[in-house]
Amino acid sequence: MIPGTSKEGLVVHLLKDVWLIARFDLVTAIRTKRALLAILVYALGAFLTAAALVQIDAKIGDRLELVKSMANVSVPLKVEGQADQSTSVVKALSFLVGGDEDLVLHLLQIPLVVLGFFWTTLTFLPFLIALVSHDLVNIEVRNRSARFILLRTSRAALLLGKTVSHLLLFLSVTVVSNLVLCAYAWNASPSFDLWITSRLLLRFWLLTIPYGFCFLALTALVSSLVDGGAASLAANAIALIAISMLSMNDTIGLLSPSFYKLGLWSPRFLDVLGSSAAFLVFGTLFLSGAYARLRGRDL
Amino acid sequence: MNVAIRTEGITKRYNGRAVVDRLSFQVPTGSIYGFLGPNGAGKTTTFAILCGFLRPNEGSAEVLGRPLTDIPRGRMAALPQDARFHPERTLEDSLRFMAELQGLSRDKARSETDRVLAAVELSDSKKVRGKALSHGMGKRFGIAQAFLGTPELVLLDEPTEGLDPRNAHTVRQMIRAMAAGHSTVLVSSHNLAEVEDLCDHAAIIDHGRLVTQASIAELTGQDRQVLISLASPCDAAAAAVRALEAVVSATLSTDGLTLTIAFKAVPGKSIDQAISETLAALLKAGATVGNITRGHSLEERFLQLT
Repeated sequence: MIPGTSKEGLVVHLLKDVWLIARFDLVTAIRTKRALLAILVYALGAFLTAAALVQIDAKIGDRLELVKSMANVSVPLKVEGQADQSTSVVKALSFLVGGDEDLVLHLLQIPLVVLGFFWTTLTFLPFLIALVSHDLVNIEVRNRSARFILLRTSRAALLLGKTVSHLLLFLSVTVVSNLVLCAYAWNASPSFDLWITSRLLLRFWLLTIPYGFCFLALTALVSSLVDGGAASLAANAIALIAISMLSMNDTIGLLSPSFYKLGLWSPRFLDVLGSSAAFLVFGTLFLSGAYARLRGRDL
Repeated sequence: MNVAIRTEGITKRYNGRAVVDRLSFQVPTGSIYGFLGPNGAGKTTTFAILCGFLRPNEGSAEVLGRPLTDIPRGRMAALPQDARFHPERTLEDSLRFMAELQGLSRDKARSETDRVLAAVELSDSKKVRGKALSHGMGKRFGIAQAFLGTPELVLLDEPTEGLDPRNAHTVRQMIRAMAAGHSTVLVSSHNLAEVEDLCDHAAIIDHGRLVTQASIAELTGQDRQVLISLASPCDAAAAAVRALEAVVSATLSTDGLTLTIAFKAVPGKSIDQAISETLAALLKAGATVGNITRGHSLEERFLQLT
């Protein structure tokens, strides 16, 4: 990169370099076992999730439909038995989402297959990211391949390029998995509505971007702090467990990205926006930390 | 003097031990500059500092007029030691990527990739993946990426180490061509004859410290010292040349067969003229000259200094 004289010129050069690195790294990932591993793990997860949820839907779908229809009734329920049944299911489900019954009623409107798949994504995507990207930064340092790149561009471009590449990889993998999910559910479930499912999957896929970015940035941070491949994988797993446990604490849970996961399910737009913003802020902080470490270290 | 690299007391310590110790030197713009030192002298560490890979603990340096914290990327190239590129990508892919990252257009990157691969005789192997490269091929790949485009400064750490004579010759030709195109080349090598042949300036370091830096002519004494072998002993030889204005000293070996003459600079008189006058004086004194050697080899100088 020949640095421009203006700030705009530098930003344009940085973005160009980021894209070049991301493109090269993504193609490299596609040609290696890394992408294959991610796609296989995720597609298998999607398939198993879809299969399980289709079965569940077939068995308790009627009961859920009943609860849904009752939840939508604006007047007080007259049928005593059904009302009790509805209330108990809602209460049981609300326990899983922090006691928010409105949220349960909202979730009940979402096809079970989509619901289950998004839950699986939110639960396992961070671990998949850790598994596949744990050496995002340190592999370049270990092999000293970073030296060939850093003669030509900045450390910021290297970090951002690699992060963008891996983010694109995971977003692509979730798209592939969504397709697997849709194909299976369409084939196996007679009540499957392609239009509604596609619309909801698109929405959840968009929400996966800030969420995935946050955890990818965390992985980048760990990878820049810990040099060894296996050590960074272990450190990543520990960090994820710590973040998950931290989010359960009422007082300091706010400091954990996982605390904001529930907001992505909310029927209220501002809640979703707030959660997405929180993930972006955490991601930016993690990435800044990774950059500070990369900038200050010997390569 | 315009300098491409200027270092001022750079120091790099590992576990408290200085690998590079208050090192100061200047590389003139447009020169081929040799960087010499025994194993462990700090050459590779210095290269890594100049490339911005390592941060010095003390001191400062400028590369192409810019501080180490703001190295002008894309205007310099290097052959880093021990660096490997992506094992799963082909040579062609990797070089195109690096050329584009260097600021070349996609078309230019493609043509430059073809050019440098041909220059290091790897055109037939351009589809070979990084993981399948032999040591020699990997070295040539490293050299190829360093010669992409027209960098103003090229740093080559042991560029011919491990290459066969033919490839080593090709690399030397590439270095000369690069310098002829006004690039500055800093090259480290253990092959002192190669450095003497290739470079016009050199620095010698030892234990991380600068021992000396000068032009090759100065280092080898080519402009100050001549060894004259006499065909037969001639006791009058030394006295015959001592009287000359440019001669500082003249010493005859104990067997009377080798005369070592040191010269000083005399305004209006070149070293060649001084040598001619010396030869004339010797012949007049009745000496028979067998052989003349200007200065001493870089190897001799290196061994004296390190």
